[in-house]
Amino acid sequence: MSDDYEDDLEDEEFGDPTRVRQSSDHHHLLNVFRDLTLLTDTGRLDEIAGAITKRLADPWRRATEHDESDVNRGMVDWRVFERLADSERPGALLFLVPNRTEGNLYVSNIVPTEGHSLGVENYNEILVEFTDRFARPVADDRAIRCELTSDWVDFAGDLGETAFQALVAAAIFPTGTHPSDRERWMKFILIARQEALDVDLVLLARWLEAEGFTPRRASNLVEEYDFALKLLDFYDRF
Amino acid sequence: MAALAPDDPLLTAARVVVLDACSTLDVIRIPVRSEWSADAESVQQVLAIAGDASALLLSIPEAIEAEYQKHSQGTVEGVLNELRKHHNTVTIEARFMKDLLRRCGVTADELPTIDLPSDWAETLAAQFANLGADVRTKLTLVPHDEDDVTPAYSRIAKSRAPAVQGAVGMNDSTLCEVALRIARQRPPGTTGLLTSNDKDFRQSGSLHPQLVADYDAGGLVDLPTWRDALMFARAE
Repeated sequence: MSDDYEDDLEDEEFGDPTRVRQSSDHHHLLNVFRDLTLLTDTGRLDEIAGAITKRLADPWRRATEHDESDVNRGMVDWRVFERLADSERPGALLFLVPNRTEGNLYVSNIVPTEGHSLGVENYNEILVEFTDRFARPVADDRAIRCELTSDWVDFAGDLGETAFQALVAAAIFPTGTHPSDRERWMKFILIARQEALDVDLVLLARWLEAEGFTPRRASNLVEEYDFALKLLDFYDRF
Repeated sequence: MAALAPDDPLLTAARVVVLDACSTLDVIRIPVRSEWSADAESVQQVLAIAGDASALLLSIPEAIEAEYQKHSQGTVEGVLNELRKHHNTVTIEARFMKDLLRRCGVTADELPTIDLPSDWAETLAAQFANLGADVRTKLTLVPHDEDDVTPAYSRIAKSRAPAVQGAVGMNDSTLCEVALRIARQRPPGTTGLLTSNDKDFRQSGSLHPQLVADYDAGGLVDLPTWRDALMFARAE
């Protein structure tokens, strides 16, 4: 059960994004979880984890009790570092994992030691702290490239000008009862289809929420968008 | 993987439904939900079928049952509070209507009366709390062990559904692994996982893409609502 159960229950009203806004009012960027990758051989997991461990300082510690090495059971193996809670940030466990497909090491997740969710901001701050204080110095010592992705994605830029403007127009009132309200929403779907856009559904939902839709309404619209594209695909192959 | 004994009801029942805490709590919330993942009739019919445990066994992992216990009292109180709010609204609107009708010349004798029993909210909340308790009595507790917890932890480490980036989700992942473990030992398509937790188990209304292969390989059926559970229970 999601710990946001009660929030979900309260989230049954429509958002009211009906206010007509200028294009500049709309969100072009969305904040996202950052990813840390160390571009080195997966076989160096223990060497790198060990070197990082030597550098650890308060409020960080190595949490070997959470490690896993049983690849024979189909598990990934991972090494865990714990950031203890203090006045600045909540406590968290950070997982360093080998990516055998791409041949590198990466931080696959950071989870809170108390409560259900860290949120994007805390997650990114903890990752940056781990990177700057421990992972990057270790990588630099070994001439390993250390890549930390941005905490923002250019949603509008990725979508392209035409599709983004169509989405902005559609988001004025996509669930309205007037035919033109629906037409704007369908126009965006058709543009996405014509331009073969690979829209990240999670980001689309986040964008709609940022525009004022409740999470449930955003989720319903994304569901509708996804279904419409699948139906159009199916129609073409029928 | 912990194998079920040949005579274990989880193995011998024609169909097994593994329940999440949220779907169990949805039963208590039936009177106040506008989007119904549970409705009384479906729940009652599922319970009737589960009256014969060899036909349908309802089960819940221990950790999930503990989560249900933790939230159940608060859920009942939340339902009661919402119903009382409705009561106030109805009372105010009834008073307004009477004033309006009086101004239109309707005499006191002709005014309609709305006679809600004073304890209607308590009665209704208790009714569905009892239905939730009926569900609870039908549930077979499924213990979980390292064989479930380790792969559940692996989902968290890999941010793999139902686990997500930045969140613990241990119970969701354990629930998923327990249901998969049971399903793998049974004929395909005869084990269902009933959860209304769309956020973690589904994406744009369908089973989360990261779960599709696992469910397919295990022969596990995704059941978002009690109505789906009823259709699953009735299927030949």
